[in-house]
Amino acid sequence: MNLEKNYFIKKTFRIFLFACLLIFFVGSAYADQISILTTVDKNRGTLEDVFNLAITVKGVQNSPKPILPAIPDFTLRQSGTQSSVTIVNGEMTASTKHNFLLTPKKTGKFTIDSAKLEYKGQEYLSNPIQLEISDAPKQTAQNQTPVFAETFASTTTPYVNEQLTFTFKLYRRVETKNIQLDLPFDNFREEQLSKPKDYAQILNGLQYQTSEFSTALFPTKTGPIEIPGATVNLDLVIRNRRSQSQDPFNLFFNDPFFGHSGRLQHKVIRTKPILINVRPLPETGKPLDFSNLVGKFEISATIGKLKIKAGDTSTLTVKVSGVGNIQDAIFNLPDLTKNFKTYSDEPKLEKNAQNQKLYGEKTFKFALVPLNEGSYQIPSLTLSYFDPEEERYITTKTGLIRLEVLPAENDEKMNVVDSKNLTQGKIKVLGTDIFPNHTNLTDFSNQKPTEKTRSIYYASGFIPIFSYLTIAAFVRKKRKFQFDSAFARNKKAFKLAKTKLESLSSRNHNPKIFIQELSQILREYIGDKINLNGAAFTSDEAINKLREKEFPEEQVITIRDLLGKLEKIQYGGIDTVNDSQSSLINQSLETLQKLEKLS
Amino acid sequence: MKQKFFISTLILWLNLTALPSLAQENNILSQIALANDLALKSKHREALSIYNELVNQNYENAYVYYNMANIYYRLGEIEKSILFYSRAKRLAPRDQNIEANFRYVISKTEDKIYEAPAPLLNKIFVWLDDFELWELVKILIVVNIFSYSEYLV
Repeated sequence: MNLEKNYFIKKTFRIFLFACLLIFFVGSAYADQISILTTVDKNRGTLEDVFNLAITVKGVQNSPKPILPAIPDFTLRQSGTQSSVTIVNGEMTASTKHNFLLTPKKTGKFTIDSAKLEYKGQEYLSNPIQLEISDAPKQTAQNQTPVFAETFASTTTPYVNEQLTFTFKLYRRVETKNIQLDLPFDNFREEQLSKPKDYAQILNGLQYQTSEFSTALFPTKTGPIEIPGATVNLDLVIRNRRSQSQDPFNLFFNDPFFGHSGRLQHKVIRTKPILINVRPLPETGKPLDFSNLVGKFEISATIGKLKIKAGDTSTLTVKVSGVGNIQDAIFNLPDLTKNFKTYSDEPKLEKNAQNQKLYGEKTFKFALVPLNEGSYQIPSLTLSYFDPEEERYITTKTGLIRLEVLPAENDEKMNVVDSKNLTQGKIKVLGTDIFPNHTNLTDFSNQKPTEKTRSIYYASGFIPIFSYLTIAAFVRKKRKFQFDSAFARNKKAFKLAKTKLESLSSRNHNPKIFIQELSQILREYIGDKINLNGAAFTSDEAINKLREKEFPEEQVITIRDLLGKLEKIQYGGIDTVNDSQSSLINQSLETLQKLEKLS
Repeated sequence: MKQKFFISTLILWLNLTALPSLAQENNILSQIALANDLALKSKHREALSIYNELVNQNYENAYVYYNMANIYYRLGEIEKSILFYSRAKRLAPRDQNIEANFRYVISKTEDKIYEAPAPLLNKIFVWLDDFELWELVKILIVVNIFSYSEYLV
């Protein structure tokens, strides 16, 4: 198994080494034979053709991108790079092909200058290319072109600001993808009329899928203006021949679901520009209040409340609606300042398309505040526009509006803000004074600190510090007990020994066992005090350890004597101490108490 | 046993000291009501004498000082007015009426009052001026409790 594994690793390594050497030698082999070549798929074409321009660099694998010459008469698009290495009769050749798509912008003869490659400090130039571009053949249903486009304008002699409807139609008999439409509308203001729609259409017996959309254009200047031709970039789907075979597998796998139904061919379609002559509006009969509205419009006015009190507000709503450049509608209220304060609101505009025409409604709102009681009349409101169909100016008006103003409630004087002062950002100060006296009796409690509150103040100053220090000390001690076993044993030693001695005194023992246990309690106490296993000490060892820990000599001697006495009893004679168990316990307890005080 | 004794003594002490005679307090409030009424009727001197009498009886309240300051202003005694507004501000540092009247009266003085540059500590703890003493005590206790958190967790 291991042999097989080693063999596999060695083999892989050899292949890797060989590949590295091959790349190295190939790189060095063709480094000195670099050439650059420019080719096109065709030298002649029409405005609707796309030229495949390829710049091939031989002798370099993955060469840097060549620098293209300026090509102002064409639109350039990159379409990928191909690299290849060929070995023929032991001679290796590497090449890189940089592909571009050229779309002509105008007719004529053009020279594409040399492309330049800079590689390892040297410059390489390609050959120049000649291209001849002619007009595109007229693409209509008559010549059975698979894809063509048309544009229409509803009129070629509109008045300035008059709406003309521009329609674009794309006819196609083949499947297309990636459609991009470019419609430059300089010198016009554009308003889209509707969303593009698709429908089938029969032209000269051929069925076309037609995409159509319309837009409203408003010429912004007079004189001859050209609506430039539309440019459509699209990809035609060219079906493979194989896909048309009756092979059931082909039928199945050429389903669009599998995405292998054909190849794409890029195509550019251009429509012809439309020349229009924009007429100026006539000067004769132009009303003074004319505000460049061209079309057919109506004006209406309504008021919110017909009877209001002086100082209250009633809203005057003026609606201008119709077909044309409604967005340009301006409406100024006649001078009502003698009897009203007026405040205008931001106009609201709603637009929609009706029968390929832009219809809109612009609403102006004014808040009217009558200054005095009485009966008032809001005069007719007028709107002037130019009607291109009738070729004359028309002024339309609303009816009179009567407004009854009742006296203000409680005869209170109106406090209308002076707009002049407002605009200057000033407020008229009528007088200045201090705030009045405070009279709420609940707020008049005595705030002078009493003896009690003073004590609490002092306490509040000291108690936190005191309690903090106390708790800190307590917690510190608790933690020391928790984490310092020597400390904990030392501190608990006496209590533990005392408990054991009390327990020992309450039981009836065999004298030998009593002495053994008593001795052990004493040694364990010493062990706890010095953080060692006291039960394992002899009395001499215990004494030595106490001396090492610098316990007072007097106490050391006391406990040594006690332990010695117990050893003598234990190993000498048991019966002699049978009646003195309690006295031994008392003696031990006293000794431990003394030792505890000194430790 | 000791704890019980301590707690009961503390409660007794608090109760005894918490009896600054309700009758006395009611009397004070009636005097204040009278003074307020007199001030409202522009009997400034009479109102002022009642307020002064209360202040001399160890009585201290932000709004009494405020009312006194207002009366002094009405009487044209601006310097006394400023003094009593300052006292009122000390007891009710965040009251907007006191602050507004104080600033207004200051603006009426002919001499410009320049505030001496505050020491650094005062600049850092400037917010302390916005609290009453009782509020500071409560803050101190809360901060103190929070400081135990180290030991509680």
